[in-house]
Amino acid sequence: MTKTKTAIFLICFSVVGLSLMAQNHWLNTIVWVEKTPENVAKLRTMSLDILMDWQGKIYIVASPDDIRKLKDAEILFSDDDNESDNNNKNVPDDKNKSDNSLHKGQKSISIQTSINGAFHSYREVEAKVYALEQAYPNLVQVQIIGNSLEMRNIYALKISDNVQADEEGEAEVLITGCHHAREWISVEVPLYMAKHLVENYATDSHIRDLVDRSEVWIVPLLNPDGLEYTIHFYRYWRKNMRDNENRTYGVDPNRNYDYMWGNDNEGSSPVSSSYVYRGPAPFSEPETQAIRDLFVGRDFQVFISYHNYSQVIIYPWGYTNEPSEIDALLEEMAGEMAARMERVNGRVYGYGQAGNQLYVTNGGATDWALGVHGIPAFTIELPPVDQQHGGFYNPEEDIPPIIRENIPAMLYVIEWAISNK
Amino acid sequence: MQDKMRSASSAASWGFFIGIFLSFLSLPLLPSSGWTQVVIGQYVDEAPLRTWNNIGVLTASAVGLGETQFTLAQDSSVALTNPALLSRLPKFTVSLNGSGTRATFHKYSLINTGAVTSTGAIDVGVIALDYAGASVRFRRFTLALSFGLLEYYYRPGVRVESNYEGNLYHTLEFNQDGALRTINFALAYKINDRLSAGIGANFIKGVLDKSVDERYYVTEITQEDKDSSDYSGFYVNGGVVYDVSDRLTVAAMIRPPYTKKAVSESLIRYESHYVEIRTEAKAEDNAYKQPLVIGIGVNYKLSDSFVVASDLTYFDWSSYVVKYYEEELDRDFRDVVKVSAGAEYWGNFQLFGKEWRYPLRIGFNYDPQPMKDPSIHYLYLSVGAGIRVGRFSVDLSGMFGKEYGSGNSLSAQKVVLTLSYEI
Repeated sequence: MTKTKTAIFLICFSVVGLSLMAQNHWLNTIVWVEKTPENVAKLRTMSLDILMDWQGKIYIVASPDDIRKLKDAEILFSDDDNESDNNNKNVPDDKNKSDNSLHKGQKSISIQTSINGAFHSYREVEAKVYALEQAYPNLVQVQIIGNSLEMRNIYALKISDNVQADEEGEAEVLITGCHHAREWISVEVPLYMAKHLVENYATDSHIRDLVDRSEVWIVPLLNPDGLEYTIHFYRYWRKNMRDNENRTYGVDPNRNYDYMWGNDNEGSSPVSSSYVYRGPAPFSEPETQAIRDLFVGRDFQVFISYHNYSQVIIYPWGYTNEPSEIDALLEEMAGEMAARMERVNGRVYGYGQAGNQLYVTNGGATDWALGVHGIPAFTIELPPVDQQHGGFYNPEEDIPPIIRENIPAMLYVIEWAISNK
Repeated sequence: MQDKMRSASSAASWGFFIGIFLSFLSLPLLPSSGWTQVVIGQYVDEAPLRTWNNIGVLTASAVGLGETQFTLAQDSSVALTNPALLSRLPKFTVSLNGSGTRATFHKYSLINTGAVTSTGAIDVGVIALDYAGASVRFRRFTLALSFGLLEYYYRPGVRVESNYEGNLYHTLEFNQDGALRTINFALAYKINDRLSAGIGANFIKGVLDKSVDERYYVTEITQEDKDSSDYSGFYVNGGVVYDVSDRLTVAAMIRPPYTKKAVSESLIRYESHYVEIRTEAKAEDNAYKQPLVIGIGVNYKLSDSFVVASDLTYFDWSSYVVKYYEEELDRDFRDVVKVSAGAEYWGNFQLFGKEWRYPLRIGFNYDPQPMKDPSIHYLYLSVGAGIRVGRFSVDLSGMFGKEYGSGNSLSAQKVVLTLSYEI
């Protein structure tokens, strides 16, 4: 038999550059400017994507064009830890950043058997919620409140005593995670909160009292298609997986609610390639429809929406800098949450009104909850504090401490809902 | 009478050269197209280049006949599809096959699925020496050893750059490469003058590497996402061929379901001035449950020099299951039947004192893909020709196809050259 050798070679050529273009988010980075009256006045006219106003800094998700605008307006800006091209010497140093963050040399490494490590995928969330229901059938009820564009279930966990019954006299609280696909930690916190409530029901009289007197609704994964896309294809994806049919993809679910939707092009974008694209119409997306429909026939007292990053608690209004009628209450509640969180790990969460601090958003979930349903609503931006400390990436070992520090805030919110029913 | 023969010989010579010419033409002229997979589900990483419906390796004769392979014993590559045909080959054969494939992609991985958008389909070309094999016959038994490249996982690479005032601001690179190879040992047995049966054992090995690297140069932030899988597995294939009459031959083949195993590693890494965050994962038991494949074929000799043939191949894709890092991935597939048909004409002429024989081939192929939504299929036309002098033969074929159903107007072209020696 003649021995035959096989030599296999591939010569591959690709036509790439000509036909490719990136959506806007590729070009963006986060810069910050000092919050001075002059800067605020200038920024308001510039249609920038303001991420956050915190501790005297205004964080901006800036494209190269945006950076050019900042320069043209003679606004000094900086990246979190770098001096900018305009050589800003006035920016504060990094001393306020959390000590809980990893420092270089302290590599966060863990080896898992799940491709997304200790974070949960859609299937893992699904398994977890049904496992909780099976383990605590008297306390947990799993409901499918909608289906995503790719026909994944959007799960809600109802946690209460007599969970099968709709007890009208009980307070109702809604907690959601993962409006934005890349914010993996925002799945973990609400999911483990559910676990915490039911696992401690039998042994912790305070939790038992809260669960007995309330109905806590937890939607840990609102954007399952987006999450799966970040796990398998592109970790930095933010929106849902809507095909906008013009070679752009995705709608930002947190700009798609029907309150002040499309109020301006600052707080959301009409451009479908934008990563804050608000969609063709309010509630055009199945994810936001699921939340809208969940409110029907229920009387939620308070709503919390988890995101990351920035380590802040913000509340409506987001679409304007005018305070809401319950601004004092919202500030008080946010302050109490932040204080309780800090007591756990020493990590400081800032807080304040989103719009007043230039965190301009319209069509957001919390504005809708307050504007349409009149209830206190909060966006909790989980750690890290900034991009240089990980941005949308959290070390796996930081999941438990983040969950632990958020539990007291959740319990406080349930307490508040019960006492204000 | 002699004039008529000269006339026939002259026409045949022209036919031969026209066939060769058309085959060459097919490379540059055919529209770039898709043997690619499109759709949601199309962008899955393990989707083979060209088509999901792979069995064996396409040599030039099969390509020229529209991928018809089950009843015509052309070369030892039949060991990978219907090994019963080995008993109909000459006593000893050796074949070497090379191919060039040009195809267009639209949706795959992060391209045109969300993160990166292209203004149109993206071309990719692959040249490969994809088959080498030999067969030898001992009385009623024929043995074959084959090395084949079954599937490519290559994708067009992508690099996106952003510049600010002439300085590099941001880059993103996507790359994917990989292939699946087989070593096949096959045995055929000639039961009688009309009936033969054969079986093959296939040992597969492969790799798939994928990476997404993203860098922000101003903030000096790096994000990496790397996945790699080493494939292995074993499957058998078998078939029978039966001459119903001197003119009519029928055949059947089967490839039972098997599992393509994978050992996979994944790394997600984020690095800035302050942190390096790594999430590493390893899975020893990833698995791709491949479908049952059943094929039937028929050929009919219209004359000593002209034969038509057709194959139907059923793929049980609805049973396809992927277990990846302890999760079953969504692959909403349907069963499909691929239809191939072709015609082959053999002519001859005298040149340099020798008889030269040549085949001319034409074929058609309907190749539905297993994804349900959207439902897509490819239609291919193919032409081929060859030359056989003494114990050597050279075959060259080209096929081109167009995809229907996705709306992305994909197309593909493939040229295959096979060199064979037989005794």
